[in-house]
Amino acid sequence: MWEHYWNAFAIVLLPQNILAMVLGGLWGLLAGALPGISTSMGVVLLLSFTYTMSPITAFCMLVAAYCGGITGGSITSILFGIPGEPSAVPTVIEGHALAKQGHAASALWIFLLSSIYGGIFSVLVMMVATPLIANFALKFGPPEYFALTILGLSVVSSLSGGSLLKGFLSCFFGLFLATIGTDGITGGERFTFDTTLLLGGINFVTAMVGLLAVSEILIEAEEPFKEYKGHVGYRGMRAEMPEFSLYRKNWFNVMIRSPIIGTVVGALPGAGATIASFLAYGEAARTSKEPEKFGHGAVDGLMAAECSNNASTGGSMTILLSLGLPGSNTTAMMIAAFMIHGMQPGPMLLSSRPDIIYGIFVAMLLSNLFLLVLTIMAIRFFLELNRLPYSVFSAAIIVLCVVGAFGLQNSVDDLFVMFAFGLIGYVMRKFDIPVAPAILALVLGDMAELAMRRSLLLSLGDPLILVSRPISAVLLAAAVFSIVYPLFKKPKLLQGL
Amino acid sequence: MKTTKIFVMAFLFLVGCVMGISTSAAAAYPDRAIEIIVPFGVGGGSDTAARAVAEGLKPLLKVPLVITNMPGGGATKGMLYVAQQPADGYEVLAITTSHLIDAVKPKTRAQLLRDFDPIMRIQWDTSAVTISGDSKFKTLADLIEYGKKNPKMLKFAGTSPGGWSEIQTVAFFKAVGVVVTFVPFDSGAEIKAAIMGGHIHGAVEELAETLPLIEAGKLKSLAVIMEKRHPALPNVPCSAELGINYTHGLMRAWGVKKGTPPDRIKYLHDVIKKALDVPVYKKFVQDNHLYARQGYLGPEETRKYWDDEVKFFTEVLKDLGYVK
Repeated sequence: MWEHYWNAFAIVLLPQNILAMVLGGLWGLLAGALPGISTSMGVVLLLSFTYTMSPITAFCMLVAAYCGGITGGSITSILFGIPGEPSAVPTVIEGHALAKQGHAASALWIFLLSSIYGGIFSVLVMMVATPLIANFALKFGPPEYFALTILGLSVVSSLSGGSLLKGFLSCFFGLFLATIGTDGITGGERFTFDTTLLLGGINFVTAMVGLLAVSEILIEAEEPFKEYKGHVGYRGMRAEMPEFSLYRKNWFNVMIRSPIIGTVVGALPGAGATIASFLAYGEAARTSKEPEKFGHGAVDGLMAAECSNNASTGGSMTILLSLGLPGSNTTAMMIAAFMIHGMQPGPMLLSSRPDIIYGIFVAMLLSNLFLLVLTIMAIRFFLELNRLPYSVFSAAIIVLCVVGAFGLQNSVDDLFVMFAFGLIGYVMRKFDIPVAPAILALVLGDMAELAMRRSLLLSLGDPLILVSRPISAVLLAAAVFSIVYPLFKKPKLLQGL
Repeated sequence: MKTTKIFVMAFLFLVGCVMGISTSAAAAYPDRAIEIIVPFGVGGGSDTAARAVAEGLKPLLKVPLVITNMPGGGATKGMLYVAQQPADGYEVLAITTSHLIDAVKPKTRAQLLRDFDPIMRIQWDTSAVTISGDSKFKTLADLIEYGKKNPKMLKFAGTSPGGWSEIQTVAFFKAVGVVVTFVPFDSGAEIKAAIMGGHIHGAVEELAETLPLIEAGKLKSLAVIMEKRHPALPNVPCSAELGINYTHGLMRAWGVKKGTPPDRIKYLHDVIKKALDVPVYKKFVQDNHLYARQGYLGPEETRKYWDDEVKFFTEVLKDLGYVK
């Protein structure tokens, strides 16, 4: 095995491959940072340029673009508060809060270091334990997925800020939204009012942009009536360099727990980055020494979410390379890339083309390192935007939101949905109801419902299937614990009402 | 004054020229970009298939070719859009079996058989009955025997409830006299993981996607659903040789709005047919194992094929209780 790695390093470090990684990484950063171009679309656009390249150069470029896209998405989340993917919601909540306090550079540093570490950690795990993780992932059937989504939903208790009741109110609203659209088991239509607008359900990216970004601008738009607010301003990257002690304080959270959650959950097809980042975020909130900071710029929450989010790339690639199963949209594009170069991703690839597989491992490792440098250079330009007066800045953000929501499906319908959710989010914020639980429930509610009904189909209606299998039993117990625990910790359940 | 007059006359002259050009060119179809509406998202099966055809088509056309993805409403949104455009042959819809199923009980104001004319059928895919590599069932007969003894105990996965995936699973097993439980999943990847993990018995799915896992022994195919054996799996029996009267498969076709002038349909038909012979498209066919049976059908045959399939789907959907 080791001589494969030495060969792979020798090939990946050829000048043309390094160039490919740098260009791919830059392209990915750009695609991820621009709302309207998702990471997977960025990879598709790049795909046509790789036809004539040698396979390994092509994969260096694509892998770098994949990692770059995930990193780039977080830049937009932190600076503009626009989440590009559901997995970026914790980043928007904590990172953007830090940016609004004038610590954009600090938030970017923390996100960058944690996410690159998460990425590298997962690649290293992938290098030594690919078959192990793939086999573990296969143990997850519908009952296990159900338990996992419930564990994800239990994070609500940590996201609720002051009042658990309001948190659950928001959560149930999200669960209701998740029922809209075509029913995934019977194909029936629910709450669609005979329009095609809602037939596909509520797209969570549109809803998310509305609830988080648009509603915030509506809130901020009230300000000029009171007093003129200038630009947020920022301190430079150098001045905001995080201290080492920050990482020493959070070593377990960042170094071990979050990347493990990310790698394992990322390997599950159909769960992936979203559950990974929320679970790690929730764990951080539960064990944090300053839980009251969550929702207002908690550094440890941002670290955990970013670390786990990026670690899911390794998990996702693991299942792709060992079994040929795409865990996310972007890895599905990778399958196309394999086929263009005359390979079928699957279990045979590791023995038939070890050069490619080990090359991809090495390329992922190196592109994470290159991205660290590239992003630090790119961030300066993004930071300059914070000099704009907020009135101009927010107008630009609305434009980006519109472009992003429209770009999802080239559909004006999504814009209506986005603005409707902007208004809903505005009202929720006015009543101090946290929006994050609603988004979490919208994303996970659908998965939870389908997983439960699939399980019941498998057991012919016997609900014991949900608790009788070891993995799901453990996960459900953890979920119950995480919902009940805060009740004992904070006996004043009705606090804040 | 005089300059103004000259100016006006020059302007009118120019307008005349431009209009003259456009009317004379309108006779020669096509004179502007042709748009292919793919009613699915970027990167899906229909999208990559349409792009492969378009790749071969572009050099043969004098006008630009634009692919627009219009996902939503279970593939009906794009269809409705084309149905609302003028019938001038500039909007082409990428049609799949899901539109034929929608024709049984239309979700929108558009109905495929009523509102569209086929240009041609392009692909006809092959499905296979696939189970886990270490499953106790060795042949299709074992599986059928178990299924007959234990109605509903065989659990088969698929993707679209009430859609092609459920229809082909349930209809195939009905043809052999077995009642299965259909469990819908969100994606092919999840289905394959569930089969390999032993959570579900198997799936009736398009063969190409599962081939690498079959070759690796993680999955095995008990039968391909076709008139003859599939060249990629010469050791696996086909449904016809097992005496099962069921050979339906996923089809992809291109069509235009009903009322498009026949000469324009013929033009499109001829040029697309040529595009199916270029190397780019042939490689696509090879990679996706679409060579096993002929995909191409002319416009008339395609219409007949559509009519037959819709009749078949109507019956299956009645059985399943989706339509009354």
